[in-house]
Amino acid sequence: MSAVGHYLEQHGIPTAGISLVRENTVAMRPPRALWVPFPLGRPFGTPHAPDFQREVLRAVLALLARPQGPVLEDFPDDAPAGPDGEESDTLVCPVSFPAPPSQALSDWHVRLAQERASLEPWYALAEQKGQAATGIAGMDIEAAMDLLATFVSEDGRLPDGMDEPARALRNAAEDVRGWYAAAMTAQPGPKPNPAALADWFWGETGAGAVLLAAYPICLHHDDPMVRRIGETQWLPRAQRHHLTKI
Amino acid sequence: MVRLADLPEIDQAHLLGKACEPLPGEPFVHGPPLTQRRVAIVTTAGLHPAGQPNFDLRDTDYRVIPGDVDGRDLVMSHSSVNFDRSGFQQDINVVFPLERLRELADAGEIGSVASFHYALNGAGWEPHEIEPTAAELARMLAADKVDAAVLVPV
Repeated sequence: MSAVGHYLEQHGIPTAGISLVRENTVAMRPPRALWVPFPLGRPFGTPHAPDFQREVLRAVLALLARPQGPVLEDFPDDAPAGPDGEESDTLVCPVSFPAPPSQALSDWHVRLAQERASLEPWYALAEQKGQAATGIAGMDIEAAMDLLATFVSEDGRLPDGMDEPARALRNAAEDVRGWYAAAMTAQPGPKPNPAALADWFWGETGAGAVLLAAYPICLHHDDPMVRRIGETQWLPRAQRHHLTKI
Repeated sequence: MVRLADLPEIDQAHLLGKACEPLPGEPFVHGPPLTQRRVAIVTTAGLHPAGQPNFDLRDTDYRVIPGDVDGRDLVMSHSSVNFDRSGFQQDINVVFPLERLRELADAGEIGSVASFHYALNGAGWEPHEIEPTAAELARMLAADKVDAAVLVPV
Protein backbone atom coordinates (compact mmCIF):
# COMPACT_ATOMS: atom_id res chain seq x y z
CA MET A 1 0.00 0.00 0.00
CA SER A 2 2.90 2.36 0.73
CA ALA A 3 4.10 1.98 -2.86
CA VAL A 4 0.63 2.74 -4.23
CA GLY A 5 0.57 5.96 -2.21
CA HIS A 6 4.05 6.93 -3.37
CA TYR A 7 3.22 6.46 -7.05
CA LEU A 8 -0.23 8.08 -6.87
CA GLU A 9 1.36 11.17 -5.33
CA GLN A 10 4.11 11.10 -7.93
CA HIS A 11 1.33 11.32 -10.52
CA GLY A 12 -0.46 14.17 -8.75
CA ILE A 13 -3.05 12.55 -6.46
CA PRO A 14 -2.87 13.41 -2.72
CA THR A 15 -3.14 10.30 -0.56
CA ALA A 16 -3.61 9.28 3.05
CA GLY A 17 -3.38 5.62 3.93
CA ILE A 18 -3.95 3.12 6.70
CA SER A 19 -0.89 1.23 7.97
CA LEU A 20 -1.36 -2.23 9.48
CA VAL A 21 2.32 -3.14 9.87
CA ARG A 22 3.97 -0.10 11.37
CA GLU A 23 7.53 -1.41 10.92
CA ASN A 24 7.09 -1.66 7.16
CA THR A 25 5.53 1.80 6.92
CA VAL A 26 8.44 3.30 8.88
CA ALA A 27 10.82 1.68 6.39
CA MET A 28 8.96 2.70 3.22
CA ARG A 29 8.03 6.27 4.20
CA PRO A 30 4.78 6.73 2.24
CA PRO A 31 3.46 10.32 2.06
CA ARG A 32 0.81 10.08 4.80
CA ALA A 33 -0.07 7.05 6.94
CA LEU A 34 -2.15 6.32 10.01
CA TRP A 35 -1.02 3.20 11.83
CA VAL A 36 -3.88 1.30 13.45
CA PRO A 37 -3.54 -1.50 16.05
CA PHE A 38 -6.15 -3.74 14.47
CA PRO A 39 -6.03 -7.32 13.18
CA LEU A 40 -4.90 -7.96 9.62
CA GLY A 41 -8.04 -7.94 7.50
CA ARG A 42 -9.79 -5.29 9.63
CA PRO A 43 -8.27 -1.89 8.77
CA PHE A 44 -11.29 -0.03 10.22
CA GLY A 45 -11.36 -2.07 13.41
CA THR A 46 -14.68 -3.67 14.18
CA PRO A 47 -17.67 -4.76 12.10
CA HIS A 48 -20.90 -2.88 12.78
CA ALA A 49 -19.16 -0.18 14.81
CA PRO A 50 -19.94 2.82 12.59
CA ASP A 51 -18.96 5.50 15.11
CA PHE A 52 -15.55 3.94 15.59
CA GLN A 53 -15.04 3.35 11.87
CA ARG A 54 -15.92 7.01 11.25
CA GLU A 55 -13.32 8.13 13.81
CA VAL A 56 -10.63 6.07 12.05
CA LEU A 57 -11.66 7.54 8.72
CA ARG A 58 -11.61 11.09 10.12
CA ALA A 59 -8.15 10.47 11.57
CA VAL A 60 -6.73 9.29 8.25
CA LEU A 61 -8.39 12.10 6.28
CA ALA A 62 -7.02 14.66 8.77
CA LEU A 63 -3.50 13.79 7.61
CA LEU A 64 -4.29 15.48 4.29
CA ALA A 65 -4.03 18.86 5.99
CA ARG A 66 -0.42 18.31 7.12
CA PRO A 67 1.93 20.88 5.59
CA GLN A 68 4.80 18.47 4.97
CA GLY A 69 5.66 14.81 5.04
CA PRO A 70 6.18 11.93 5.12
CA VAL A 71 3.68 11.69 7.99
CA LEU A 72 3.17 8.62 10.15
CA GLU A 73 0.72 8.95 13.00
CA ASP A 74 -0.53 6.31 15.42
CA PHE A 75 -4.25 5.84 16.00
CA PRO A 76 -4.59 5.84 19.80
CA ASP A 77 -7.41 3.37 20.41
CA ASP A 78 -7.79 -0.36 20.11
CA ALA A 79 -10.77 -1.69 18.20
CA PRO A 80 -13.87 -1.95 20.40
CA ALA A 81 -15.93 -5.06 20.95
CA GLY A 82 -18.71 -5.55 18.45
CA PRO A 83 -22.36 -4.73 19.08
CA ASP A 84 -22.97 -8.19 20.60
CA GLY A 85 -20.42 -7.66 23.34
CA GLU A 86 -16.90 -8.83 23.95
CA GLU A 87 -15.23 -10.80 21.25
CA SER A 88 -14.57 -14.32 22.32
CA ASP A 89 -11.03 -15.73 22.39
CA THR A 90 -12.41 -19.21 22.15
CA LEU A 91 -15.14 -20.52 19.98
CA VAL A 92 -17.82 -22.82 21.28
CA CYS A 93 -19.81 -24.08 18.34
CA PRO A 94 -23.39 -24.71 19.44
CA VAL A 95 -23.74 -27.12 16.54
CA SER A 96 -22.61 -30.64 17.31
CA PHE A 97 -20.92 -32.12 14.31
CA PRO A 98 -21.55 -35.84 13.91
CA ALA A 99 -18.57 -38.04 14.63
CA PRO A 100 -16.52 -38.74 11.51
CA PRO A 101 -17.97 -41.69 9.59
CA SER A 102 -16.81 -44.90 11.17
CA GLN A 103 -16.28 -46.78 7.92
CA ALA A 104 -13.29 -44.65 6.94
CA LEU A 105 -11.97 -41.32 8.09
CA SER A 106 -11.17 -40.59 4.47
CA ASP A 107 -14.83 -40.59 3.52
CA TRP A 108 -14.58 -36.88 3.11
CA HIS A 109 -17.75 -36.47 1.06
CA VAL A 110 -19.90 -37.84 3.89
CA ARG A 111 -18.17 -35.84 6.58
CA LEU A 112 -18.45 -32.55 4.70
CA ALA A 113 -22.09 -33.21 3.80
CA GLN A 114 -22.89 -33.77 7.47
CA GLU A 115 -21.18 -30.55 8.50
CA ARG A 116 -22.88 -28.67 5.72
CA ALA A 117 -26.29 -29.85 6.92
CA SER A 118 -25.46 -28.83 10.51
CA LEU A 119 -24.36 -25.33 9.58
CA GLU A 120 -26.75 -24.65 6.70
CA PRO A 121 -29.40 -22.82 8.80
CA TRP A 122 -26.78 -20.43 10.12
CA TYR A 123 -25.34 -19.79 6.70
CA ALA A 124 -28.86 -19.07 5.44
CA LEU A 125 -29.22 -16.52 8.23
CA ALA A 126 -25.92 -14.89 7.26
CA GLU A 127 -27.13 -14.69 3.68
CA GLN A 128 -30.41 -13.10 4.79
CA LYS A 129 -28.45 -10.48 6.72
CA GLY A 130 -26.23 -9.79 3.72
CA GLN A 131 -23.24 -11.18 5.60
CA ALA A 132 -22.24 -14.14 3.48
CA ALA A 133 -19.93 -12.63 0.84
CA THR A 134 -18.64 -15.84 -0.62
CA GLY A 135 -18.86 -17.03 -4.18
CA ILE A 136 -15.59 -16.50 -5.99
CA ALA A 137 -15.51 -20.11 -7.25
CA GLY A 138 -18.61 -19.79 -9.40
CA MET A 139 -20.07 -23.01 -7.95
CA ASP A 140 -22.40 -23.73 -5.04
CA ILE A 141 -21.04 -24.89 -1.71
CA GLU A 142 -21.96 -28.53 -2.34
CA ALA A 143 -19.97 -28.55 -5.58
CA ALA A 144 -17.06 -26.78 -3.89
CA MET A 145 -16.98 -29.38 -1.10
CA ASP A 146 -17.22 -32.24 -3.58
CA LEU A 147 -14.32 -30.86 -5.58
CA LEU A 148 -12.15 -30.74 -2.45
CA ALA A 149 -13.29 -34.14 -1.17
CA THR A 150 -12.59 -35.79 -4.52
CA PHE A 151 -9.19 -34.13 -4.75
CA VAL A 152 -8.19 -35.63 -1.41
CA SER A 153 -9.96 -38.99 -1.73
CA GLU A 154 -8.58 -39.67 -5.20
CA ASP A 155 -5.00 -38.50 -4.71
CA GLY A 156 -5.20 -35.14 -6.40
CA ARG A 157 -7.76 -35.83 -9.10
CA LEU A 158 -9.34 -32.77 -10.67
CA PRO A 159 -12.40 -32.97 -12.92
CA ASP A 160 -11.79 -33.50 -16.61
CA GLY A 161 -12.87 -30.69 -18.87
CA MET A 162 -12.87 -28.00 -16.17
CA ASP A 163 -11.43 -24.63 -17.14
CA GLU A 164 -8.43 -23.74 -14.99
CA PRO A 165 -8.95 -26.57 -12.47
CA ALA A 166 -6.15 -25.34 -10.19
CA ARG A 167 -7.81 -21.96 -9.76
CA ALA A 168 -11.17 -23.68 -9.27
CA LEU A 169 -9.64 -25.76 -6.49
CA ARG A 170 -8.16 -22.73 -4.77
CA ASN A 171 -11.37 -20.72 -5.07
CA ALA A 172 -13.45 -23.66 -3.84
CA ALA A 173 -11.25 -23.82 -0.75
CA GLU A 174 -11.70 -20.08 -0.23
CA ASP A 175 -15.47 -20.32 -0.57
CA VAL A 176 -15.67 -23.20 1.88
CA ARG A 177 -13.63 -21.26 4.45
CA GLY A 178 -15.85 -18.25 3.93
CA TRP A 179 -19.01 -20.35 4.16
CA TYR A 180 -18.03 -21.73 7.57
CA ALA A 181 -17.00 -18.28 8.84
CA ALA A 182 -20.28 -16.74 7.71
CA ALA A 183 -22.27 -19.52 9.38
CA MET A 184 -20.38 -19.14 12.67
CA THR A 185 -20.51 -15.36 12.86
CA ALA A 186 -24.25 -15.36 12.12
CA GLN A 187 -24.93 -17.12 15.41
CA PRO A 188 -26.12 -15.07 18.40
CA GLY A 189 -23.83 -13.81 21.11
CA PRO A 190 -20.26 -12.51 21.10
CA LYS A 191 -18.48 -13.06 17.83
CA PRO A 192 -15.33 -15.16 17.80
CA ASN A 193 -12.24 -13.08 17.23
CA PRO A 194 -10.35 -13.76 13.98
CA ALA A 195 -7.75 -16.02 15.59
CA ALA A 196 -10.37 -18.11 17.42
CA LEU A 197 -12.38 -18.51 14.25
CA ALA A 198 -9.35 -19.66 12.26
CA ASP A 199 -8.26 -22.06 15.01
CA TRP A 200 -11.74 -23.58 15.07
CA PHE A 201 -11.93 -23.99 11.31
CA TRP A 202 -8.50 -25.56 10.87
CA GLY A 203 -8.46 -27.49 14.12
CA GLU A 204 -11.97 -28.75 14.64
CA THR A 205 -13.91 -29.02 11.39
CA GLY A 206 -13.93 -31.63 8.70
CA ALA A 207 -13.54 -28.88 6.14
CA GLY A 208 -10.34 -27.76 7.82
CA ALA A 209 -9.20 -31.39 7.94
CA VAL A 210 -9.82 -31.89 4.23
CA LEU A 211 -7.83 -28.77 3.40
CA LEU A 212 -4.98 -29.96 5.63
CA ALA A 213 -5.06 -33.35 3.92
CA ALA A 214 -5.02 -31.63 0.54
CA TYR A 215 -1.95 -29.56 1.38
CA PRO A 216 0.76 -32.20 0.77
CA ILE A 217 -1.14 -33.41 -2.28
CA CYS A 218 -1.00 -29.89 -3.70
CA LEU A 219 2.72 -29.60 -3.00
CA HIS A 220 3.49 -32.76 -4.98
CA HIS A 221 0.91 -32.42 -7.72
CA ASP A 222 1.70 -32.89 -11.42
CA ASP A 223 0.13 -29.54 -12.28
CA PRO A 224 2.62 -26.73 -11.50
CA MET A 225 -0.25 -24.33 -10.87
CA VAL A 226 -1.62 -26.61 -8.15
CA ARG A 227 1.86 -26.79 -6.63
CA ARG A 228 2.12 -23.00 -6.65
CA ILE A 229 -1.27 -22.65 -5.02
CA GLY A 230 -0.27 -25.16 -2.37
CA GLU A 231 2.90 -23.25 -1.65
CA THR A 232 1.38 -19.80 -1.42
CA GLN A 233 -2.42 -19.77 -1.27
CA TRP A 234 -3.61 -22.75 0.71
CA LEU A 235 -2.62 -22.93 4.34
CA PRO A 236 -2.30 -19.84 6.55
CA ARG A 237 1.14 -19.62 8.10
CA ALA A 238 -0.36 -19.43 11.58
CA GLN A 239 -2.22 -22.71 11.09
CA ARG A 240 0.70 -24.88 9.95
CA HIS A 241 0.96 -26.51 13.37
CA HIS A 242 -2.21 -28.46 12.53
CA LEU A 243 -0.25 -30.40 9.90
CA THR A 244 0.98 -32.70 12.66
CA LYS A 245 -2.54 -34.17 12.73
CA ILE A 246 -2.48 -35.56 9.22
CA MET B 1 -5.64 -5.32 19.95
CA VAL B 2 -3.08 -6.60 17.45
CA ARG B 3 0.43 -5.34 17.02
CA LEU B 4 3.19 -7.08 15.15
CA ALA B 5 4.50 -8.54 18.41
CA ASP B 6 1.09 -10.12 19.00
CA LEU B 7 1.18 -12.10 15.78
CA PRO B 8 2.57 -15.64 15.57
CA GLU B 9 6.34 -15.62 15.07
CA ILE B 10 5.99 -17.11 11.61
CA ASP B 11 3.77 -14.18 10.55
CA GLN B 12 6.11 -11.63 12.14
CA ALA B 13 9.07 -13.07 10.26
CA HIS B 14 7.17 -13.05 6.97
CA LEU B 15 5.94 -9.47 7.34
CA LEU B 16 9.32 -8.13 8.42
CA GLY B 17 11.01 -10.00 5.60
CA LYS B 18 9.16 -8.07 2.90
CA ALA B 19 11.12 -5.73 0.68
CA CYS B 20 10.53 -2.37 2.33
CA GLU B 21 13.03 0.11 1.00
CA PRO B 22 11.99 3.75 0.57
CA LEU B 23 11.12 4.51 -3.05
CA PRO B 24 13.08 7.31 -4.77
CA GLY B 25 11.93 10.81 -3.95
CA GLU B 26 9.29 11.85 -1.44
CA PRO B 27 6.30 13.15 -3.44
CA PHE B 28 3.85 15.07 -1.28
CA VAL B 29 0.92 16.72 -3.07
CA HIS B 30 -1.21 19.38 -1.42
CA GLY B 31 -4.88 20.15 -2.03
CA PRO B 32 -7.79 22.28 -0.85
CA PRO B 33 -9.37 22.04 2.61
CA LEU B 34 -10.97 18.70 3.36
CA THR B 35 -14.45 20.18 3.12
CA GLN B 36 -13.79 20.83 -0.56
CA ARG B 37 -12.12 17.58 -1.46
CA ARG B 38 -13.51 14.79 -3.62
CA VAL B 39 -12.48 11.51 -2.01
CA ALA B 40 -11.98 8.04 -3.47
CA ILE B 41 -11.03 4.78 -1.82
CA VAL B 42 -8.17 2.72 -3.22
CA THR B 43 -8.00 -0.65 -1.54
CA THR B 44 -5.56 -3.54 -1.83
CA ALA B 45 -8.14 -5.97 -0.41
CA GLY B 46 -8.83 -7.70 -3.72
CA LEU B 47 -12.45 -6.54 -3.82
CA HIS B 48 -14.64 -6.46 -6.91
CA PRO B 49 -18.26 -6.81 -7.92
CA ALA B 50 -19.27 -10.47 -8.04
CA GLY B 51 -18.94 -11.76 -11.56
CA GLN B 52 -15.86 -9.72 -12.43
CA PRO B 53 -12.64 -11.73 -12.88
CA ASN B 54 -11.00 -12.85 -9.67
CA PHE B 55 -7.58 -11.56 -8.75
CA ASP B 56 -4.67 -13.92 -9.17
CA LEU B 57 -1.40 -14.16 -7.26
CA ARG B 58 1.03 -11.44 -8.43
CA ASP B 59 -1.86 -9.72 -10.19
CA THR B 60 -1.01 -6.04 -10.68
CA ASP B 61 -4.25 -5.21 -12.49
CA TYR B 62 -7.10 -3.28 -10.88
CA ARG B 63 -10.87 -3.53 -10.63
CA VAL B 64 -13.30 -0.63 -10.71
CA ILE B 65 -15.88 -0.30 -7.94
CA PRO B 66 -18.74 2.05 -8.89
CA GLY B 67 -19.48 4.75 -6.34
CA ASP B 68 -23.11 3.69 -6.06
CA VAL B 69 -22.26 0.04 -5.40
CA ASP B 70 -24.15 -1.90 -2.75
CA GLY B 71 -21.36 -3.31 -0.60
CA ARG B 72 -23.16 -6.63 -0.36
CA ASP B 73 -22.52 -7.12 -4.08
CA LEU B 74 -18.75 -7.13 -3.58
CA VAL B 75 -16.63 -10.23 -3.15
CA MET B 76 -13.00 -10.58 -2.07
CA SER B 77 -10.67 -12.69 -4.18
CA HIS B 78 -7.40 -11.54 -2.59
CA SER B 79 -4.76 -14.20 -3.13
CA SER B 80 -3.44 -14.30 0.45
CA VAL B 81 -4.92 -16.65 3.05
CA ASN B 82 -3.09 -14.98 5.91
CA PHE B 83 -5.62 -12.43 7.12
CA ASP B 84 -9.14 -12.40 8.52
CA ARG B 85 -12.07 -12.22 6.11
CA SER B 86 -14.85 -12.66 8.67
CA GLY B 87 -14.92 -8.96 9.51
CA PHE B 88 -15.45 -8.12 5.84
CA GLN B 89 -18.21 -10.71 5.65
CA GLN B 90 -20.06 -9.15 8.58
CA ASP B 91 -19.65 -5.53 7.53
CA ILE B 92 -17.85 -4.42 4.39
CA ASN B 93 -17.13 -1.03 5.98
CA VAL B 94 -14.46 -2.65 8.16
CA VAL B 95 -12.43 -3.00 4.93
CA PHE B 96 -14.05 -0.63 2.47
CA PRO B 97 -15.64 2.28 4.38
CA LEU B 98 -17.84 3.62 1.61
CA GLU B 99 -20.89 4.14 3.83
CA ARG B 100 -18.75 6.06 6.32
CA LEU B 101 -17.39 8.20 3.50
CA ARG B 102 -20.92 8.95 2.26
CA GLU B 103 -21.88 10.00 5.79
CA LEU B 104 -18.95 12.41 5.99
CA ALA B 105 -20.01 13.89 2.65
CA ASP B 106 -23.61 14.26 3.84
CA ALA B 107 -22.36 16.01 6.97
CA GLY B 108 -20.21 18.39 4.92
CA GLU B 109 -16.96 17.13 6.42
CA ILE B 110 -15.64 16.24 2.95
CA GLY B 111 -16.62 17.81 -0.35
CA SER B 112 -17.92 14.75 -2.18
CA VAL B 113 -17.46 11.04 -2.79
CA ALA B 114 -15.85 9.93 -6.05
CA SER B 115 -17.89 8.27 -8.76
CA PHE B 116 -15.44 5.38 -8.90
CA HIS B 117 -13.20 3.59 -6.44
CA TYR B 118 -10.44 1.11 -7.20
CA ALA B 119 -9.23 -2.23 -5.88
CA LEU B 120 -5.91 -4.03 -6.19
CA ASN B 121 -4.65 -7.36 -4.96
CA GLY B 122 -2.06 -6.43 -2.37
CA ALA B 123 0.13 -9.52 -2.54
CA GLY B 124 2.79 -11.11 -4.64
CA TRP B 125 4.32 -8.08 -6.35
CA GLU B 126 7.34 -5.98 -5.58
CA PRO B 127 6.70 -2.29 -4.77
CA HIS B 128 8.12 -0.97 -8.07
CA GLU B 129 5.93 -3.35 -10.10
CA ILE B 130 2.76 -1.45 -9.18
CA GLU B 131 3.96 1.85 -10.68
CA PRO B 132 2.28 1.46 -14.12
CA THR B 133 -1.04 0.54 -12.49
CA ALA B 134 -0.79 3.44 -10.04
CA ALA B 135 -0.07 5.83 -12.91
CA GLU B 136 -3.20 4.64 -14.70
CA LEU B 137 -5.27 4.95 -11.52
CA ALA B 138 -3.95 8.48 -11.04
CA ARG B 139 -5.15 9.45 -14.52
CA MET B 140 -8.61 8.04 -13.86
CA LEU B 141 -8.84 9.62 -10.41
CA ALA B 142 -7.87 12.97 -11.89
CA ALA B 143 -10.51 12.58 -14.61
CA ASP B 144 -13.07 12.04 -11.81
CA LYS B 145 -11.73 15.26 -10.20
CA VAL B 146 -10.56 13.31 -7.15
CA ASP B 147 -8.10 15.20 -4.98
CA ALA B 148 -7.87 12.79 -2.04
CA ALA B 149 -7.37 9.04 -2.16
CA VAL B 150 -7.83 7.04 1.03
CA LEU B 151 -5.55 4.02 0.79
CA VAL B 152 -6.75 0.93 2.59
CA PRO B 153 -4.68 -2.23 2.95
CA VAL B 154 -6.01 -5.45 4.37
